[in-house]
Amino acid sequence: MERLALIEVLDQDSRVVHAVPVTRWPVSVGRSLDCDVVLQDPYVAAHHVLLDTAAEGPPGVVLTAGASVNGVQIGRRLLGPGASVRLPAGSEFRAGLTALRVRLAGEELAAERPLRHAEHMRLLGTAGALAALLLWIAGLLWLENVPGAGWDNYVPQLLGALFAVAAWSSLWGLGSKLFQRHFRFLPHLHLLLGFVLAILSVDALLALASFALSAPWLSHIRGWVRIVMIAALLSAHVSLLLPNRRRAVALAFALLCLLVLSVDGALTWRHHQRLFDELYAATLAPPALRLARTEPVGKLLDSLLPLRASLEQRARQDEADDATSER
Amino acid sequence: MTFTRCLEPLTGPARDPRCGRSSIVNQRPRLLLLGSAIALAVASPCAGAAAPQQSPSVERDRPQVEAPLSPGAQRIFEAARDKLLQVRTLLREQDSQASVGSGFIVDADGLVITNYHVVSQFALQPQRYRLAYTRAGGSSGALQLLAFDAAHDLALVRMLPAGESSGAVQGRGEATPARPFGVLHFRSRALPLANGERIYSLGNPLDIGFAVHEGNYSGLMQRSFYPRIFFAGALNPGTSGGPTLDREGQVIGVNSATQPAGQQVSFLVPAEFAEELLQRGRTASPITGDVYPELTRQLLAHQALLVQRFLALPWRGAGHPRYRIPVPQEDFMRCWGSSSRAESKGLQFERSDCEMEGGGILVGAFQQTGRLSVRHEAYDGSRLGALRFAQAYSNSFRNERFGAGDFRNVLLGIGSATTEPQCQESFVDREGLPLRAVVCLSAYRKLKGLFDLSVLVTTVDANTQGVQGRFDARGVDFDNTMRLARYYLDGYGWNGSH
Repeated sequence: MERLALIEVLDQDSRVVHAVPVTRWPVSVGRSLDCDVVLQDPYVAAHHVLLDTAAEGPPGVVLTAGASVNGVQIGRRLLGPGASVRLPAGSEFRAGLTALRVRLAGEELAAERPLRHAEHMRLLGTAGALAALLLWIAGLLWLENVPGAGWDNYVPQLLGALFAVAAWSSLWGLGSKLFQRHFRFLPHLHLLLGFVLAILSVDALLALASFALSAPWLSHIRGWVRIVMIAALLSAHVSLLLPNRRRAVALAFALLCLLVLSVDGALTWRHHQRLFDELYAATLAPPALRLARTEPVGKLLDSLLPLRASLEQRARQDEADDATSER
Repeated sequence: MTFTRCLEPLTGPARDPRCGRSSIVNQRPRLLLLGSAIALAVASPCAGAAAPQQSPSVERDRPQVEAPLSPGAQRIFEAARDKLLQVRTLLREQDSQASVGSGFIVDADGLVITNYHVVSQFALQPQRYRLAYTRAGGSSGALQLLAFDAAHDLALVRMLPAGESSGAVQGRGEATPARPFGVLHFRSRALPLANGERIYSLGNPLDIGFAVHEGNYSGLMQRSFYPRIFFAGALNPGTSGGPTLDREGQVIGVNSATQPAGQQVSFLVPAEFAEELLQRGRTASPITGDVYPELTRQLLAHQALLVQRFLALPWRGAGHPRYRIPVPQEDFMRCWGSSSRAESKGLQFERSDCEMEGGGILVGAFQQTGRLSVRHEAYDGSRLGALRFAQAYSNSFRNERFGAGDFRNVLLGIGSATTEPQCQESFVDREGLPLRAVVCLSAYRKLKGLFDLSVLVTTVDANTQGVQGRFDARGVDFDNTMRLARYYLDGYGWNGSH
């Protein structure tokens, strides 16, 4: 008999639990044993959904909600009893707690994903990124060490970094085991390496640019940039665990990041009456990197003149605050 | 690198582990010492205040500093005994003493000279403290503050007999002190002392009892901004504000400061300043309100003099082959040098630290102002290469502290005297030498019109060498911050031979 469609029953992680072949239309879905697709979900009505082939247009089905308390969820839409809607091929809907997907004969299939090649390339990329990170750390150690410092000044820190990277990725791997039932170490490692390299290089670039352009604010914002990038890294890790919730995860981390930044800014403002903790840009690069011109001493001193009023205002404010808190 | 050192005296309490705590409750201003052992030769204001509790072991451990009294000392002490006072700062609501010092009667009406730092806690926070005295005979009463001279560390107070009080202060003496009081007289200015002459310092050291310390007049302290007598004899905390007498029993100075790193190296405020304060304050009405306007007036006058004298002195060179670096004359500042070890494989440096002798003027328990300091480090990174040098040079430039965030104040939970600093920075040109300069200012909260200035300078002309300098002025007016910043920055340039 010709297979017209396949109704797939999905679990919480969008994995197919079982699939029911369709050889005739319409198809009924519900808890009753006379349904074509029988569900065990207590939040599903006896006859919850009726599916029929769409008469015209591209391949699709018409879904009609049966008599139920909970209705049928399609995307953000909730379909009440008796309402019907046309679904394109490959659409998902939810009855009670159960997600279902309709696949139709003749629907266009996505191209096959190449397996080995991609994995190889990814592995190579990850190895390259790991090597780059270790090199970067070795470079930082080299900068801090005196000339002729032995291997003992490098190896423990490098091993420590390797261990930390492995431990971090393993923890997220365990998370994927929890949510997706298999241990995914490499994707998390890949993510971590990419972000750490990005954080380090953006930080260094900002510090150098701050010197080169004589723009202290580029140096001051480094703390905030770091917070944003760490939030992005965490968001990416969680998205790997919950691939169906990418947007919600990104939104949650964006809000969290905003919260952290505002608290940080407010605390710094409270303690130092400025937005950033850093008082002045301290990075000094080799002279060749200096692009900004020098200015006469008088110009720098002139830029201090407006501080008088703001400092006096601040002193009065501090005194008023103290007087209030003593009372 | 600077570090603070607990100002406990050499005898006993310095070894007391409670020293850190007791220095919170006592009136012991900070002593900033520079990172070299010999640099300890900075006078620390105050023979300050005694530790409130003395454990028996501390007593036992005290080295024997008091030699048997000579007949002269005995005579002096007997004659001066009833003209001496212990000046106590008590918490307003209870009888606990926060700090103690000494004083002496200079007027038959009960006027007493002591140190400003002995009464400054009361002066700055009259709502929390009160002043009282105890005499050698045991009688006691309250004290009123009449006048003070912060720059010379002097104060004039009036004794109130038991029964009378300033505010709510009640004396606890057994008998009303007899008026007129016996007084100590000042030695005539026309009669200078000779070096080596025997002099006698009196006071109540460590709250143990009235005592006399014998020592020698050793001329004036070198490089002190204001004249100070160098007393080759012992001063202990608690004797601050007591008199030092000549062989005739006349006042030649007021006990003020000691040098904790030295042995029997002490400093006195010359009597002439006490005499002037007495003349000025004799008819003054007691200071009961806010002391800050008067303190501000005195500090403004002090900084005007200080900056005027400082700007009149040309910089002397540091002898660097490449750079002209501003190093102050040692008229009233002292510089100490140090350097990296020659065999070091890393960054080579030579540093110079210049501070004013005798510290500054107290505006709070630990906050000093009215002082200048100049520092620089000349770096040679030829053994490091350009990249490593840039890294080490940046680390050094980053490693700077600013007043308001002073870790000691944070540690002690003391609010800052100043606002948070605000800075401007840029590359500036000094006769073709490119510098990175950061200028930071903060304003005093209660001393209106006074500012702290910090200027950080680093040369940015070479791959593997450079100079980083720092200039600090505490408690100067705004125009002077600008003058000093310009003066300091103008001190940089190429060395002539370059």
